[in-house]
Amino acid sequence: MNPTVALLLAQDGIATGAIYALLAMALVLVFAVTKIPFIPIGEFVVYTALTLVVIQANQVPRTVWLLIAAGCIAFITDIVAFVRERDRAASGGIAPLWLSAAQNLLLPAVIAAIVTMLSQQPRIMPVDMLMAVLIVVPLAPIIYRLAYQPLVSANPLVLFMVSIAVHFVMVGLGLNLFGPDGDRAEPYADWQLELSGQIVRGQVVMVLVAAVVLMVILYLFFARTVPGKALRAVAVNRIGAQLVGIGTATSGKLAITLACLIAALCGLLISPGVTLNYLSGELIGLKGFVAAVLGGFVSYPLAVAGAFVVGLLESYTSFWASALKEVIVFSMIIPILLLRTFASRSDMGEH
Amino acid sequence: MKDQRFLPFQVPLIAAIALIVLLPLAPVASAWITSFNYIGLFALVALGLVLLIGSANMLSFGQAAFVGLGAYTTALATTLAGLSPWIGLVLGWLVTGIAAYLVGLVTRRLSGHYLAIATMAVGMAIYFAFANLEILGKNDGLNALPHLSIFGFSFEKSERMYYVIWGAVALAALGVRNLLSSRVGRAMRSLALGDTMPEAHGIDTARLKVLTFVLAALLASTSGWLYAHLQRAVSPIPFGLTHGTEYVFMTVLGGAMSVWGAILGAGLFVLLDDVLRNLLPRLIGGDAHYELVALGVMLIIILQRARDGLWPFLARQITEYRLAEAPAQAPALPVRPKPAHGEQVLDVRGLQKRFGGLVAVNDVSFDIKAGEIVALIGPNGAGKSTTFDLITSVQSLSAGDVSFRGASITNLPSRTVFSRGIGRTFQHANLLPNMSVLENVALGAHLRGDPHMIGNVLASASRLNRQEEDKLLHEAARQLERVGLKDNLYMAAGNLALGQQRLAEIARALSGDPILLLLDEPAAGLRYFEKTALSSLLRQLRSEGMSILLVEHDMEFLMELADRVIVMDFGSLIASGTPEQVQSDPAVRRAYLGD
Amino acid sequence: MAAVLDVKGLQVRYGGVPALAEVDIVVEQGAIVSVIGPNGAGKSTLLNAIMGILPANASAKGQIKFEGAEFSGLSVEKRVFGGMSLVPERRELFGAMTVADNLLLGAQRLRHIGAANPMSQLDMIYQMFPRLKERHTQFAATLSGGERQMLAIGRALMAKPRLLMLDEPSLGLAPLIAQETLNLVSRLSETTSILLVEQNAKAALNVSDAGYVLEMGKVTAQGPAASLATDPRIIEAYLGVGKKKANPGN
Repeated sequence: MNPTVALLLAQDGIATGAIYALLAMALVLVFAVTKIPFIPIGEFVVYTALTLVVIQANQVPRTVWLLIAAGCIAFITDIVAFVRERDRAASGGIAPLWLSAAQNLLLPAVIAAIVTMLSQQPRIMPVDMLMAVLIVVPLAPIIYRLAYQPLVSANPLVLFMVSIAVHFVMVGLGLNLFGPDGDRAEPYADWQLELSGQIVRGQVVMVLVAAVVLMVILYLFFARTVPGKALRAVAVNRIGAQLVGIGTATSGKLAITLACLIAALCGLLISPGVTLNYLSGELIGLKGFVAAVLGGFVSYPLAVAGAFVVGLLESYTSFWASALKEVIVFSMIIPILLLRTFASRSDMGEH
Repeated sequence: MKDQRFLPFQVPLIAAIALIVLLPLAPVASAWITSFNYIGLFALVALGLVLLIGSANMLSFGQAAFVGLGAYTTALATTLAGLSPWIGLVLGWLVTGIAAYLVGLVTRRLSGHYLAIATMAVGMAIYFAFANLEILGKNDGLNALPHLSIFGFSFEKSERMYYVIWGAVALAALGVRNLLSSRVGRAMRSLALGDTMPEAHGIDTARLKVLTFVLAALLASTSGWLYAHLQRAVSPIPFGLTHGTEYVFMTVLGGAMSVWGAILGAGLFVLLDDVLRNLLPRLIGGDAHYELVALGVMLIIILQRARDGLWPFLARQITEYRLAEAPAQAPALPVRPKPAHGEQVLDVRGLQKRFGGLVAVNDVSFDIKAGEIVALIGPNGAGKSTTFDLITSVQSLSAGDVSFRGASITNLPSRTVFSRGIGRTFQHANLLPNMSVLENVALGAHLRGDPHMIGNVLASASRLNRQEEDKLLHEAARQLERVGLKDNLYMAAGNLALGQQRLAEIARALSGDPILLLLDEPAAGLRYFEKTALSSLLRQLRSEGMSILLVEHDMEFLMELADRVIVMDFGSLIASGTPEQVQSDPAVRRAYLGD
Repeated sequence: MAAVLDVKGLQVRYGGVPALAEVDIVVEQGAIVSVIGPNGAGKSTLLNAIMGILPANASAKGQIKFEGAEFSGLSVEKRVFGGMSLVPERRELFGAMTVADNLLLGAQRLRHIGAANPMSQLDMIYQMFPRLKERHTQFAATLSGGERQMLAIGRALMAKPRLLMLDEPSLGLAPLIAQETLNLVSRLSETTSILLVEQNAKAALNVSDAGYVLEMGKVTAQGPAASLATDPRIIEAYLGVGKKKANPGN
């Protein structure tokens, strides 16, 4: 391996590492707030990327219909829950149902209308990207409502199983929505930079810039805004958060929606670079997980560092031993956990 | 684990067994044999998950990879090295066992979800190794495996493999059931409550978790070996994450709490899968693939609505848990020699516990002599339960020294403290709700059985340890009789009243043959006559040379029982003396009443 | 005076085991009502049930009327937004967040109902507890016991509650600080009604208008604080003195 190749590989590694870092942060966020290991995060990456591909082909993506259908199911679930609890909680009117209708029926309908209308118009690429995000991200609160909300007080292993189940539902739906074949989006940055003799691809620059900007925004959100602080409060002390009026379901929905927004942006970022199919999300999501495990699910900086290690390892192994690339990346979890075991000798058990 | 001698559903059960035995003799389509072969293979893996999910509250999505290790090892051994499939089986166990041991080792001290993540990641790694290694035939896999045969009798036909598979299922089901109803199995099941309670009864939870995980992996490996020689070929696809999840799904579907649930789950899964594959395309039409979606949705619904699976619905009539029964007679277990009356047993010097800036226990010193009942009282938050936790090493102390019978036990693991002869109960009763009272109590006698873990697993699975079991269960029954629960031996512990649960905890501590007994609010929730009975029991224990330290709020109960009362407030000792002295002590009145 | 809180027939069970049996409690507008009783009598359970933060294995039955509306079955956040605040026994502060953030998050109710400005409420709390202002950039986990107590009460007050419930506010505090806390409680009653749970019976009754004695999940005595303070049944409940001569009753 000569230095040029090594630097090229490093470029790739850092770019993929940045994506895993964003996903790892999203996973840490969801886990801290809800104790949910959100395995289906990879599907949000893929759904957004493949939805973008369809939009760019001037078609209405089928994900729109998924959003409408899922919204209807969530609304019906809300009605059923409302009727059941009606006798228990006498006060409060049907205001919650109006809210649910707005979130689950109106919003998807409006999005569908916009997408259908715009799909035949000439557009610029950022509009396409915005449309893809608008279609996919609203699925997140609906998934929280249907799969996780009934299980708020369940033990972590049950949440784990539900996550895996949601992952399979989304993979299965993905096959029907996008077909079995892989695809990639149009490039958004097909230029190159030359940095002291080294060629840097525009795609890589964009990914890194976007990742840094996103991390800064996230930092400001958690450090400066009330909703951000409220999410941190839930992560720090759940009962305390309840006592000041931060609802478990509300914060859970917000955390998962934010995480899925991050995942969707990752989807946009990687969509021109790699060919993705309905199955790709599994690997992407799990690698984000490996990175998050390095941070022990609590530390954002460690998770980010872990993500770059995963990215670089993946990049270099694909050169040296491409067949065993995944084997090496996933086996890495053993030494990581071994280190954590030594580090946490005194702190046994849950929490 | 739920079981009982006279099952209301015994008839259908016998019918099911007869069906399984007779199926190949009947003129049925070979598709049925194939389906049942798969049910058997899946059931073997699910039985391992009964140990993991249903008992020890551990979760693994990597069982498919362990199945694959068993399958690929025998495939390599028989095709490349030309070895006998039986050697392939043993080699498969070896490879799988080592892999599982490594995964178990690195996750044993971490929270439950780390195991789940590790199994997923390692499962992926193993899967990709199958699909990418030249020697394993990459995506095409290996084929032309030999069929099984023994002494020239060939199992080439799938009807014959059928009996091998179901024979293995029967053995495994019996073994798992026996194991779970034995000493080691009880310890495994106690892991579901977290580490504190089992450790406080002498159980090495980290080792036990690794053992449980390895056992489940070995069952998976066996299934893989059978699969390889049934198919006579292996390829990577069946060993990926999807199948790893399907194993979890079928176990949860059937009911992870029982071996019957595992077999039921495997059966339902295969049938369901058939139905979905045939029905869904016809319903939805075209080339839609909704099996995976249906699988996921069903799993979510089951987890939300019926987390314990379907088996408990079938076995709902069960009111008694007789998986393990106490014999009427059994040789007594060896008993520790008691210290002479008046000898110092416990010596606590300068005990201190800080949480950040807060001092929960501050410079507390006292001692307890053999045959003495000492009460520890004080207002809420005075640090009484923390003091208990410090003595038994459930929490580590910040400063000070605890010695027991002359030797320091400061910060020794709580299982070692227990093994030295300090038994305890918890402020919040810590019993396994779905286990019989008898078995819960027998957990306390864990250290009085054979300490060799692996030998013990084999003996338990094959019921060769009957004698030991009889002794332990008889001891548990004896202690339950002492605390007045002899009519509740086979009740689910969760159905006991709160006061009775505390009594059962006392019996559990007594089963460990302690010298010093620490009781945290033993009389709370007891009715008047129960308190009287408890009081006379404690007095009797004292007369036998046992020392007792108890936290209690019922002063009336303490008045005639305690030899000495120690009063704590704000983490410090504020008074000590006879109950009468303490009651009239102005500092005590101030602490309680704010006079 | 109208009742702020009217609890009738409140029953709580932990996995089938009764913890509270048919408890009736009334808090009048602007009053301080204290619930006293020995450890394990169900005092914390009572407050937690009113606030709706019982653990998952617990079930509650009975009426919880708050300013005329039925609150039983509502989510915790709705109870908070309705005007209840609880300072729990374990304080439940946000340890890894600053004092200022802890307080600001206490004002979720004000943000929800769009009433007063959270910042002016924060100034008021800082006036009440200058110590918290001094430490406003410090993490809550680094505070002393007394400061934590102030922060917990301050956080609850940030919601401008109609009913403030305090679970053992003097717990773990040195006697002098404990007394200060109770003095503070009596000052707070100018702006809110208070339901106080205390181990320290005499001190609690000193600042209260009315009191209830809870024993083994049941109300065994109740009445105006002044008369309850001299009731011999209290000493029985705590120290068991003279209990055998007394009528065993229920």
